[in-house]
Amino acid sequence: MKILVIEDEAETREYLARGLGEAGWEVTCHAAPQPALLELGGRSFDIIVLDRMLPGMDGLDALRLIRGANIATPVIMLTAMSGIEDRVAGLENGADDYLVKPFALTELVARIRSIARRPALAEQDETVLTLGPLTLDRVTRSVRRGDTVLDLSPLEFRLLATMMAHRGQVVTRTMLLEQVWGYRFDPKTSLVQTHMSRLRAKLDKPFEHEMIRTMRGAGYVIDDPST
Amino acid sequence: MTQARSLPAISFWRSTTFARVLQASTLFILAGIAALWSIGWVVLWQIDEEEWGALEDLEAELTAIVDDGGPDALIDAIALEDGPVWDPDQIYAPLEEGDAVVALWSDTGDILAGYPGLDAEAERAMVWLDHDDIDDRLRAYGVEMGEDGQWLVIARFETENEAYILWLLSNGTLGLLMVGLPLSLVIGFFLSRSVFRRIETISDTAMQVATGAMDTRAAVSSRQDEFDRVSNSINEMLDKLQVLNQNIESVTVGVAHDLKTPLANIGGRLELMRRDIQDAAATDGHITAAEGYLSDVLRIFDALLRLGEVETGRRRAAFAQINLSEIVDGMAEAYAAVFDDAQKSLTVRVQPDMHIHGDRELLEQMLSNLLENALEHSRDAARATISLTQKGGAPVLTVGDDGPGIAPPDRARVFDRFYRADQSRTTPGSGLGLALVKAIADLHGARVRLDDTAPGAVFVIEFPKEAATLTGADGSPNA
Repeated sequence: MKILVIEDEAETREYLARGLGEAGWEVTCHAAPQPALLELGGRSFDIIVLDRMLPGMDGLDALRLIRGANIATPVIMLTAMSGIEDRVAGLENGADDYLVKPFALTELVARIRSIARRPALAEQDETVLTLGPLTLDRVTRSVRRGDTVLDLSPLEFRLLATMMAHRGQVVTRTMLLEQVWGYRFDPKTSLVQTHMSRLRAKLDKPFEHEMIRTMRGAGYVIDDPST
Repeated sequence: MTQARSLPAISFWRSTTFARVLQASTLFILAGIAALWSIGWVVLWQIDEEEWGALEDLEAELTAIVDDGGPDALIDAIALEDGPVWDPDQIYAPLEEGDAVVALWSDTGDILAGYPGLDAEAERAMVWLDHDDIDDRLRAYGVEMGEDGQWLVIARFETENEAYILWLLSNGTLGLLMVGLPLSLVIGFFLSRSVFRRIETISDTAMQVATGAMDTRAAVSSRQDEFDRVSNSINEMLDKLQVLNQNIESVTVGVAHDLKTPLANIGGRLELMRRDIQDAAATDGHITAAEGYLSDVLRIFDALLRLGEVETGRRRAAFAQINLSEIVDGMAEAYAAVFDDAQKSLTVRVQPDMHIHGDRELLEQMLSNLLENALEHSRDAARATISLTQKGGAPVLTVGDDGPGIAPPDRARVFDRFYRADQSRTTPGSGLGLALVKAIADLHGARVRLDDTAPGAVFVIEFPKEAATLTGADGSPNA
């Protein structure tokens, strides 16, 4: 996968180049928007990581130029501004995701994976999600693992549905807060951990193999235990 | 304390009050003169009309004599004891009778009767008598009498009133100018000086505050006049600024203190990493701990930035109609498990479908802060409650626990930034959570208070009653 990084701050740029490179991706870095935009005209990328504040140009304007040139490549915006208006402006101008600095590299990697896989996951909207022995029916709101019917609370159900939509990918705590609860702030308490451990007590504890694994410092992954 | 006086002294003469007093009195004097003269002219005009009327009456009388008895009868009528033609000495007698002087001239220009020193054209005019002692003016005109071409001139002396009125007008004008203008200068001087002095004391106060004497306040007299009102509002402003200033100081100290501890801890962990660099497990432990401290630091900055964003009021532009009951329900659902895990309980009582105009994300943040406050600061096995009810059509949100509560001296300050009842600052939290709660409540026009009667810490947030017009109550004027 080819990733274009537009970031003027050298330290962050190197950190991104190294981190994303180690994740196995081909990373092209630019410090200024103009050469990056030129390069975009000749090469295609899978993901663009765009800093919000660039020398001589607002990242939002760069984003408008990209979208104006009919380049539909997913864009993740990075910003030092945590204001909600800024995030809304970013999303309204065609960004696919918006990450506030400072962020953990694992967070960015998880979000890049999530966005890159998004078009392939048409079943995200399907009524019945299956993963190995696990079946989740969005309409009847029932969950079965093998022959056992799991009795989940509405929150646990939503949590599991979100995990299953991102099967095989690391889903971070922040992504879960955004997608399950719709919260854009970071609660002090272990809200996600609490509900995740309750879900796992019902989903994994009675069974031999665990489907949800904790990726330390990153998030959670749900997998088919038989593979 | 030395007087701070960096403003240049302003002379009274340049003061606005002085200029205004001068302008006003000049205007009054001019208006007075105009009124005086217009009244004078009306009176003079009336007298003029009356006098000419009297002359016409005399003419009619004399004409009647000619019509009845011919020209000789007129000469007889005019004639005095010594003959028809009046001597300069004799003129005083007819004047006693009726103020009128007449002269009858023949067509050849000889005097037939009356006073020879009087002549006039047919036009009404002011004339002088040819007389050594009398130099008063007369109203006079001539008229042809009979068929022989005789010329009758009749005249009346100007009345004393007219002269007097003219004298009054000119002297009144002079008096107004001579007395009124200097008087207004004097009044203006004293008035502007007293205004100037009052303002000077206020500006002195401001200068002293500017030079750092923050405690200085403008003197307020017992009169409660407009200057006292200005002084009062300046004093109120200064009080508020002083409080804000103290807030900034305490925030600065709070930031410094709260950042210093985790940063020192990160430094300590870095040192340990260098020492334990061969021991991968220990190093990993130090990194995890350092990351934890770092996230404490970032959390403080996030809270400060969020607080700043809320306090600017910009978010109000994005307010929408939202279902507060749903938000509270969702939040309670998410936190019930967290309370459960902490061996505490959360009781939820929510009246459904209560709507307000607000910001969903901020309200969620507010609820989260209140619930986390209850979770962290309540006793073991505490029973916390969250309820949404209505009072007089307005939503009332209550979040609280049943102990141990907040000590009375701390109650007033729990919403201050970086204020923590625990002065040692060993408990978790930035001391910004409740400050943010208050800021978000303020943004929504809600009143937030601590319930004094409850045994635990119970926060009550009273939202404003939605304006009736919003729901279209007065949409139909045709009743």
